Amino acid sequence: MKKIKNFFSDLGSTIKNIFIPDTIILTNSKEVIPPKPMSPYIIIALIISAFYFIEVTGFDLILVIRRFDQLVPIMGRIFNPDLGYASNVVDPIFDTIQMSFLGTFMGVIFAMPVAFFASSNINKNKFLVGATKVILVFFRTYPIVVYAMILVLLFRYGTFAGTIALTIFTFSIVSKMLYEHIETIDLGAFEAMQATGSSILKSFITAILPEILPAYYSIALYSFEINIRHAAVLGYVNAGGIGMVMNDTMSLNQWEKLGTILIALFIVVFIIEYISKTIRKRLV
Amino acid sequence: MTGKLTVLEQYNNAPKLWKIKLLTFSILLFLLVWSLIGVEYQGFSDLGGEYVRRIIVSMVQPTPKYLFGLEGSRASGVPVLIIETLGIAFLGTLIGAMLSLPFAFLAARNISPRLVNFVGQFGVTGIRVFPAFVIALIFVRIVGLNAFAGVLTISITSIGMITKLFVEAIEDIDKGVVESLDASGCSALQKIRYGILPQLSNKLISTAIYRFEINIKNASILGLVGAGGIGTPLMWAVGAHRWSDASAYLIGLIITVLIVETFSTRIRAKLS
Repeated sequence: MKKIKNFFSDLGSTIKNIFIPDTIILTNSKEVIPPKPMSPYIIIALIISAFYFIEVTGFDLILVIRRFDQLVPIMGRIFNPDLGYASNVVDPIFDTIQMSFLGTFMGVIFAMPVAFFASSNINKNKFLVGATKVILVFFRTYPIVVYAMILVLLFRYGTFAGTIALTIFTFSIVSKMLYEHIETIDLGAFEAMQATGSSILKSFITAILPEILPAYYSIALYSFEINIRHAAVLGYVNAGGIGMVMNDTMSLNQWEKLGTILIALFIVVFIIEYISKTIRKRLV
Repeated sequence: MTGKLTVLEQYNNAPKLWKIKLLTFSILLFLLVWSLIGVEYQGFSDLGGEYVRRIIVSMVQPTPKYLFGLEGSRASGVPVLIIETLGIAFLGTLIGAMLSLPFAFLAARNISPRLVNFVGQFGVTGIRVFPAFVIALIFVRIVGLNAFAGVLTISITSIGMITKLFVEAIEDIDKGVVESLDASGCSALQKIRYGILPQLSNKLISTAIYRFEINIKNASILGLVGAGGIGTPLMWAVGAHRWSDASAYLIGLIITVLIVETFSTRIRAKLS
């Protein structure tokens, strides 16, 4: 009995210890009160929200385990690609690369002047900075698929609508990354140029631009990498590229053909990421 | 030596980059021309102008029934759907992070041997090959058109990025701390508790929060294939040209993303 009682009192003090740590008495009899930890409360909140969300989303691990035998044949067929289909894949893959390249190129070009207006350390007009940032937020939070769906209505099915959707997407993320970068750089040279009487634009081009160009190129390459991946989903809403072919094969249950497309996509993404990483390493 | 150089000498000593600049420029020009030829511009569609006018007019008047989830449309109202989207992103991030941890330890160069690294890297690359909507479509076939398929998709697609950032955090560990704990006679468990976890936890939490932010946007795109969340009714509304309803969902989505982004940035700034 005593043991059990001891166990519970130990347990109680341990639990109490988690929330309110005991004061520590040092050898020179000085009392130290450790700071109250936040983490137990956060963990409890996380666990409660996890259970709540499991309820909301209908999370059911047993269902996955029971239906696992349905996943196996699909994966088996994807990993057993039908290589004869490869000739049908080449054209859409090139379409995707062209869309991504053009989208990245245009988006990156539009991003530079906007980033200039959105940087709070360069543009002293607080209203203009705020307005530009708010507009950028709207551009960023709209899902790219929604843009693509609207643009398809406007420009008919095909690569052009996809290219414009990628342009808008690239523009929104590159401007954000760029103004965040500009806001962190050292303004010494910029201020010195302004002190000698040159205009804001001129001092920006001479003092800031050379400093941010490597980062600008690096961001551009990075967004090209992302765009190749995003271009796949655009096909789903008929905005051109490899996604359209993927969607067709999946709706017809031709998983072997999907396997071929995925291999092609993987090769393209791998090559582009390799080139981009090599260049970016030398840039920064 | 360098102190004695005049401006002109220094200028002449600067590396001559015109060759590489010319090469880059010509490659870019070639790619640009190639893409411009490839991307076909077919002009505006016949009803294009009319569509744009209608979209703009309807977008500024979102359907209040859906926006506030008034009675009669509770289940398809924004508040309920936003909670579902948050749930998909939250559980997906949580499971994705848990699945990423073993991969990250396998792929970290300062912990595992080279061969194991290779296996870990290969596994992560293999997962990243699949575009998100392909994974979503496969899961939809297995567990049905519901939010659960979305949770599974988000968990799998999160692995790639989370693992990459986890590996960076693990490779940054200062081994000196662990060695000094070792010297003072700590057990393996104590070494992990006091030497490794405090160094890792902030970065891991920060990564998870960052990915949560991205996952909310991804969860809304997954609605396209019917994997739950606010995306599904949004895509239906856009597909059926019910722009006022679409506008209500978009406003809900944008406000959520903004709130989460603001909190995420603040928390991550505190953590680092």
